[in-house]
Amino acid sequence: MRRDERGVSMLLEYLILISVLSVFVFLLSLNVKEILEESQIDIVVENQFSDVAAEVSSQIVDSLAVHPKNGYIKAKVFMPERIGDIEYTVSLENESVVITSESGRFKKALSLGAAGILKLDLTGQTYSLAEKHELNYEKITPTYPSAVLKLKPASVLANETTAGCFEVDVSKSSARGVYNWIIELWNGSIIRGDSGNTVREICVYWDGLEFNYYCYNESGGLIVDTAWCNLTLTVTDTRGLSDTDNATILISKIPEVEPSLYIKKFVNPPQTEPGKPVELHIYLNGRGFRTEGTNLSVVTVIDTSGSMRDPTYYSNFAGNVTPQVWEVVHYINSSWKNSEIIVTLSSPDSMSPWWDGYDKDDAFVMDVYQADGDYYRVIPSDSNELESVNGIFFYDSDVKQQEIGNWSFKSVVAIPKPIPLELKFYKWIRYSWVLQEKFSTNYIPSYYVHQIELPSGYTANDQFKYLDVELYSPYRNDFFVWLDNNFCKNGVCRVSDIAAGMHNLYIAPRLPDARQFEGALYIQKLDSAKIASIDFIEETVGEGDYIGLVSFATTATKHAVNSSPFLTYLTTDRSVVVEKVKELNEGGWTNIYQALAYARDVLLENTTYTNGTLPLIVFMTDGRPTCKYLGGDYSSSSYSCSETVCGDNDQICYNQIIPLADEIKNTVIGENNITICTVGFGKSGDYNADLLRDMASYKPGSNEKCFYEARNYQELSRAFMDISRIFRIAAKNVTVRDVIPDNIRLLGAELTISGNANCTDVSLNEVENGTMVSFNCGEIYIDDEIELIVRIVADEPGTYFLDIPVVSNVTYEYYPFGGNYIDTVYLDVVAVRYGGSERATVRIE
Amino acid sequence: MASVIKDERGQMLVFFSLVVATILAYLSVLHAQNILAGIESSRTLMVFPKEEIRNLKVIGEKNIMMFIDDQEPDFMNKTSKISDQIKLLYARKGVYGDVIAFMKSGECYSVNITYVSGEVEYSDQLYCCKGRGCV
Repeated sequence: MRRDERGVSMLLEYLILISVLSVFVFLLSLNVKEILEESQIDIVVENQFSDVAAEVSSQIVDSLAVHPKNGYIKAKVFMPERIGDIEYTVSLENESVVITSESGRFKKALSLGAAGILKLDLTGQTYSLAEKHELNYEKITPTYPSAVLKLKPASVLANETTAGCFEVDVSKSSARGVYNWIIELWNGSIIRGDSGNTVREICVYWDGLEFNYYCYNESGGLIVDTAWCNLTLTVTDTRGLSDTDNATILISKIPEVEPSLYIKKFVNPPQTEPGKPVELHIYLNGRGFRTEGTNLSVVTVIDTSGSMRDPTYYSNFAGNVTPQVWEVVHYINSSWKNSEIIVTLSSPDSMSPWWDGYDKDDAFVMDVYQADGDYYRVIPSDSNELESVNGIFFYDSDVKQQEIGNWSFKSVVAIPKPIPLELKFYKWIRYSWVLQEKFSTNYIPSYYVHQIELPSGYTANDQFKYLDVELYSPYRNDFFVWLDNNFCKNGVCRVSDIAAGMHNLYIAPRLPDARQFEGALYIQKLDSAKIASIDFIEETVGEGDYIGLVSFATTATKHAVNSSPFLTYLTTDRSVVVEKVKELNEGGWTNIYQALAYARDVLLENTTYTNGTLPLIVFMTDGRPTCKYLGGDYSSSSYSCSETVCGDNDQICYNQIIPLADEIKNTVIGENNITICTVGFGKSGDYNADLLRDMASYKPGSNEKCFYEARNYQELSRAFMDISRIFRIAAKNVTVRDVIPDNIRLLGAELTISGNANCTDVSLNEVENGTMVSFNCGEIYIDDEIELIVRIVADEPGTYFLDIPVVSNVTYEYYPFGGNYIDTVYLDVVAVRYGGSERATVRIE
Repeated sequence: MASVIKDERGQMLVFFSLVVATILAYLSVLHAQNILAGIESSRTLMVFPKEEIRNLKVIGEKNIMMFIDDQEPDFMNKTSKISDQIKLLYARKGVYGDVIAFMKSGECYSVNITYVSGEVEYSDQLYCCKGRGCV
């Protein structure tokens, strides 16, 4: 029975037990994986994914800390190949770092809140088994270059032997940073430069073959004498980005080219960031050579009466100088008590040449401050000037107890060169002055040098009759003045027969408290008339133009300028006339009648030559008429001259001169009437303005008289220059309108004018679509440059078009003037792009 | 068969020991990974060369501006010397650093800033103008 206690054999028991244990172990292992492994992996993945995400996040934040403005940062990212035996992917998306396990079971996202605010573009992904991982932060400012090409002038005269020159100006181009530019000429030639060198001159000869091949004729057909040639500007920035612009130069052999208006609109810079202002430019340029496409015949009439020897204002001078003060402080001790004292300020220098011929002691001034507070200014006079040496002295008959102590001496010497100075203290001892103390210095004075240029090429032997210096009276006590080495006593002097060229005006302070000074320079009226008229001849008279000269005082003179047997008083060689003008001398009455008659005679001398030209008389006088025409042949014996011969208000002479002027203005040479322009020179009242105004013609195409008043040299030159331009009108009644849209803020507008164009101020008016910016120019002359600059700004990113179709335009009257030819040019569509929304890109890969 | 019966208890002990050891080893690996968590982010914070790059930017934006009033040849000469010195100093740290102003126009200049180490590469191009700063 005992043997039967076992229900199964040992083997079976073993197998059963093993089976039970195996099931148990199997079940246990299943449970262990669930409880121990999976839960542990969850924790590991959570932590390690956070670590990797934090690492990527840190890299991004660090990159932001040193963010390049226009570049990149590449930073390596280290991460384990597997986490919890899981491979994974790291990506940047939705402003977060996202880590996803291969199976997709695990996913971790770490938000980059700050990066989101900074508007980073997050992109890219990397796989954990990849060989390397990199975070790439990149920001490129999207500013593209802008090319703007200007030509100055936009038209040139050139022939086979004489080059026509113009400037190419690329200064209005823009780029981010420095840029290089290339201009390709019509024939393929290349001109290069960079943003530090934006203006270049180009000179061109007439080459019909080349122009016919590369250029074009605006009216079509073969190029004979006028070519339109293209230039292309390419601006390239340091990143290789580029932009181009074109312009056309008008090259002509002849001046018979109708004037026109060159219009260009551009914005600078064309891209920027919100909040930054940009400039909108509308540029107008008068193009052409001469309004009337013919030559001129000009007679310049110059008054040489006695009053022309008077001075006229030439220029001014003004400035500040702080005097060099030599200060000595000396202790006057008790040994000086009750003694007589003399303190001398002197120089052993000859003070030549500055004070040659004048009292040299006058150069010294000394302020004395005694210990008791008493103050004395030692100004040179007979009683305090030194006799044996140049200098002054201070005398005190009795040094009191309260004067014992420090005495201060402040000295100034008016001289434009360094000199040695000595300050000596003498005491009266036993009937003689005994030197007690001595101070010395090499005194370097302060002074002002004003440079004056008297132009050469305008007067006989390049000598001006005189140059006057006038230091205005409030400053005469404070300063001394020298013109070159000539001392101007009391601030006023005249240097006669002074050579053209540079001269120095030295202004040296005389008193320790002198500071400011102001004064004026004057030249002879006839000298200034010579400058103005010669400039006028040089400016106005071109190739093929005729020029003549009449001068007048008591009698008028027709100057022979031509050796031709057929034409004596007119020439195409302006240098001959210029030489005649240089030789003019003043003196006599003012015979306006004869001068006018002679000017007419010069133009009518031989109309075979002047036929077809535009006849012009430019008549300048500085005085009222003082000669009455007695009748006869206009020769010198036909006049009576005196102060009173013309009667009250010059009425007698007026009644003679005006009919003659009217007769001249009605005289036709070829198809053109004679034009008279008059200039009154001097103070108002010196000349008869009514007479001169009535003598004058109307300006071509205008209801304004060709009459000018000039008070001084500058105004005279300006008047002559204005006259030189009356045949150079490029456009009339020009109106420029543009509208700044409402979504752009307008910061201001300004108009710059280079030349003689007469334009109104810029006006701003609210209109339906924005703010209208406009201005008008009555006349724009050839080569004038008018530029409207409107400063605008936008606060939001976007592209803004700076035009309102049709409304943004330029209207103008074009040649031939008379109101019948009006053109409207619609301005180019330009846009400004406000970027700024461009983000930095952060890519993981 | 009898010999098998005699050794049965020892075999079980060995068997279960192996099971337990395997589990413990597996758990220890996981535990080790948990301990390592945080090391990468900390390391990144420590090694990123912010100061080195900032120093280069300061040189490029401010120090070079001190020469802006010089004529172009002097300006280029001085900035070139600075560039050489920077390269030398950074090379001693085992990295490449450079600030080179390569063009000057009036009161403006363009400058390239470069930093390259084994882990970080930085490149920036600035356009600096007197009184207007750098962009």
